[in-house]
Amino acid sequence: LPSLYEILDQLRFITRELAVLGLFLTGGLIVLVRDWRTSLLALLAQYLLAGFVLARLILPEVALIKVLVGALICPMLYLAARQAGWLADRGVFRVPDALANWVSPSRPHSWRRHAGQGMPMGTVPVPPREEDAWSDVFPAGLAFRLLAVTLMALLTVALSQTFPLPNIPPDVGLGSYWLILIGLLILMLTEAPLKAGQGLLTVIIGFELLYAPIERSLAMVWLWAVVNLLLTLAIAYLAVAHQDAGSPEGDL
Amino acid sequence: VIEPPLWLVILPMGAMPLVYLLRRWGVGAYLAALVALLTGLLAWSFPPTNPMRLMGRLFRLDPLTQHVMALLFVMAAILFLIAWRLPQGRAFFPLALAWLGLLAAAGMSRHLGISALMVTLAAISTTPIIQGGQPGSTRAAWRFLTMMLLALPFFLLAAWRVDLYREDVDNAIYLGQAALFLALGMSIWLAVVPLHGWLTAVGAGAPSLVAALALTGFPLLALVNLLQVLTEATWFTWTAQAGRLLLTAGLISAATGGLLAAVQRGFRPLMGYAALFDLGCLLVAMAVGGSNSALAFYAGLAIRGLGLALTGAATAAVQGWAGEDGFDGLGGAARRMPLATAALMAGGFTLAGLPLTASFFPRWLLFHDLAQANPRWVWLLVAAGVGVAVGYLRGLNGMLASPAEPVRGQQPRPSWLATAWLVALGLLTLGLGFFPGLLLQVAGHLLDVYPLPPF
Repeated sequence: LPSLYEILDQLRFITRELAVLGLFLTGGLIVLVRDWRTSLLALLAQYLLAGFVLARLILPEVALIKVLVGALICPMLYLAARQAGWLADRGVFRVPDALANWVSPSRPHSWRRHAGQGMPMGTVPVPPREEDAWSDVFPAGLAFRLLAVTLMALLTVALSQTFPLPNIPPDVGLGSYWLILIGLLILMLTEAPLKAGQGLLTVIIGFELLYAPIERSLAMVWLWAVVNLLLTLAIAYLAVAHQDAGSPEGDL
Repeated sequence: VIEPPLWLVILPMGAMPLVYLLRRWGVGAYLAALVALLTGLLAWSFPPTNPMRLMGRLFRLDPLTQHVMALLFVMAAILFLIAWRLPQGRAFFPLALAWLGLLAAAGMSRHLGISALMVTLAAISTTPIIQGGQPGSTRAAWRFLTMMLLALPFFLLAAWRVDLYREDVDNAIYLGQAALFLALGMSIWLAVVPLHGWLTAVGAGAPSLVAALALTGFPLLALVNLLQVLTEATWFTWTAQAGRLLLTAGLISAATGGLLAAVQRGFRPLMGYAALFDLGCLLVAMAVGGSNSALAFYAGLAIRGLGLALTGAATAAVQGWAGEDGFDGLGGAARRMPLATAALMAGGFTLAGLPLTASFFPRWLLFHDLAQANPRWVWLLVAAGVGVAVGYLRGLNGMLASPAEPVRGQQPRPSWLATAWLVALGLLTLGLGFFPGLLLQVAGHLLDVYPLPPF
């Protein structure tokens, strides 16, 4: 098997700047996309890209720990979303009802296609009011979120130039600012635990880009990993409780 | 050899798996209560201990942490016994034990980063019990989790700046930034207005006994950590500014808590705002700087636990009978549950600082010192306390009203054990109101061994 250093050498075409650019893309996707699977994939990519960035700043083994933690977090959230019976979207972005009917009048509503997924056997799926389901994830529309993301991008650039982060290269500082701001934006836009949880995790990844190069204690690295994993468990628990309004007992 | 203070972490954490397995039966609650009580007594009885090194970091059990942890463990033991009869979610017993162990570790740590990580882990372990198995809205648990997680980076950055200073004293220029990060993190932990959302949300959304424990434990640990920095850290030289900041934050929090408590429509949200008012009073007592207010501060730590335990338990009892905590739906409750109603009022009035309750004399001492600084601030705190009392009187009015539906009369009353604890806690607050000497004696002892910083 190739060693970690050999793998990193083979992936040297992914430069730090390219990885930071990727972080901009993944952060933006998490805000703009309603579909939870696309959103989770973007989060996974975010962990991988942050790992690439960190591998060039700290010991690659430590960066690998952070990537592995991310690789554990995303399946945990995926299982939570399945357990909660999250609805699938009509595409990556929300399409207005009239346009969707015009494009595909015979296409069944998403809840019909996916109702019952992740539910216990014998449970009769109850069709949710679609507007409620949409508005629960993101009450703001796509245009508003696009505008907010643009503003956050401008704010990121302004902040990284006015208050450059110490001890890390400027491009990594830019990525760190971006992830923290975009995570906070998600937290402001929604209180649905699965989506807002991705925002919280995004804030934490952004902070890790800043903090990992300055904290060299292995004990702190492990404690940080434990915090991340337990946080994901808490998010998963709340995501199930949030969607599980019909269940009589959701206790641990 | 295990250092003696580590038993405060090992005992609750070690008992957690067994309590989890037994959580569905009464024996689980009794075991959790026994472990918490024993650990509390152990914490209370420890002689002065030596510092320890774990993971390369310094840990020390100081008298303040020792007494605060003893208070929290004993309070948890009582709440565990009540929770067996007034169910709060079965995960309450094991996860609260884990929470207590993590808080003990956070209190003993002398590294800001480790303390913050431990408190964050404690917050994460509390999230499921704040939700308490309630399906639907996750607002309380989510807000609490988010705010606690957002506080963590500030503490880690402050710790990093302090570590840099310790390695090289030329880095003293960054200590101002460390103090700023610390202030931001502490503002969240201490629920300073306008960052108080987690505190009031937990009060309104969590099961009442869980809320009582969380609203006591997290702010008290935050105060312990703050005092450790202010009194022990050599790098912190902004004591006067910190005093002014704490005084302002305390006055604003107390005024906001009192004002909003008066207009609440349910006992659970009312408890959140009453807790905010009480926390504001504690901050003021800490910052005023006189000997009387220092006594009031240390006595106030214990009274907060007593007031919130009583209010939380009584609210849980009333809610268990009526199925809700809104004033409009509690008609007939006072007639059906006179002891629980009396306990609820005694707890609420304790938080408000009314005469004949445990908190009255310490508040009086605080006002004495505060009047020398600015008499108008005394009137502000008095008015805010009246606001909390008005909130509870409005609730009493709802409970004295005739029941809207006769069927409610058939619902079961709380068990004799829960009622007995309510009566005992109610008598304790009245007893300490009539004879405050005992509490002030303990506060005086604590003041001798761990004096407050001179602001």
